Amino acid sequence: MTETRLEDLECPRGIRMELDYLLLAIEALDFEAMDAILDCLRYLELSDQIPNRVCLWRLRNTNPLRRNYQRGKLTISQAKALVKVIATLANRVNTGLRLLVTTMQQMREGKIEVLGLQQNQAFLEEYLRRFVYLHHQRMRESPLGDEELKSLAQDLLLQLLFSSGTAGEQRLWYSLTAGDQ
Amino acid sequence: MRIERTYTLPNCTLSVAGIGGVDQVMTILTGFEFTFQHDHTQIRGGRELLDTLLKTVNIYTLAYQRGQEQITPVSPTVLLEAEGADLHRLTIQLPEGEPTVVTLNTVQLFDLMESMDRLCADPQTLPDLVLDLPAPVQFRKDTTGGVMPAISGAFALLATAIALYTLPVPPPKPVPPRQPVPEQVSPRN
Repeated sequence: MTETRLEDLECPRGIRMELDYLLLAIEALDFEAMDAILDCLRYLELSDQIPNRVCLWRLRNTNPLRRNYQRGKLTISQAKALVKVIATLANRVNTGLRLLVTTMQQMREGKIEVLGLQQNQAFLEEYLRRFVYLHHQRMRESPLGDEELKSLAQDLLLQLLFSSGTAGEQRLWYSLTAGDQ
Repeated sequence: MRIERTYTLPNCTLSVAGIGGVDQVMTILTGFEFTFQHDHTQIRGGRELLDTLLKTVNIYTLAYQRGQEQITPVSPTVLLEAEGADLHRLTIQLPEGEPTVVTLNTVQLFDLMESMDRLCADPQTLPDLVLDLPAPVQFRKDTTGGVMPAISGAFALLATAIALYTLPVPPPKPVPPRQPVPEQVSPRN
């Protein structure tokens, strides 16, 4: 009897949800993110795991909160491929992530007006507005209000920032899997 | 041969000095220095302090990524604690002298982590220093496709059969006497 390879095992629900949310945050940062994700899959030679747009759509819909939730399977090797893509894209937008995370802090400290950084605040608000819009469009009715969704979007920015460095891929995989055993 | 390497990020610079061979690979560290741009604080030390700093920052940033704010200190020499939602206080307390305290925001903390990740990833500098994430996560293999479920099922059935075999057969219940069948009487017109 053939034994299941470790890489072919199905990912736990928490990982499926978080990966989809991180991709949603990337989409909120960049209008052309879907093309960037597909280009990145080809560039990183991950087409074996995720060959095309339809497959990517199907895998993202393994997030149980999706409107089009599919009872499909996201394997560990496919999840690792997505982690690699997220870390690579986060690295490319590292400068933007720095700006948004710094602006988050300045807004909380009430320094935007004093420092004349309204432009940066507008960038952050646009990201948050797009994230909430995409969430309403793609996910089922959520008990979370818009303010809670914005707070989630800010947490995802931090996650992306810490995944954007030299060891971003390992760090992101670790943070996804620790506690999901 | 004396070698110096520098890892520069927008908010902090890590310089390491050491000794290496003709292949330019630094194998022995003689000292390191972190310089934080925002307040010009410097942290200097040797291999032991660098290792502790590396471990503490790793554990803290991984916990931070997972939404936890407090960690158990690796050593009393290096402490890293959350100060509200956006600030992180790094304290270096060496046995001699005053403690060095640096308050970092999240992006500055990222730069501190990244400078060390670049050092760990550099094969030319201290090759024995690698990114050391806590215990690797093991996914459990599921049992689909194995023969164990079938075997355990068969054994369970066998055990139940043996247990039930030893039970006495209950005596038959006495049959209740038959009730007289009521006769149908046709109604009078």
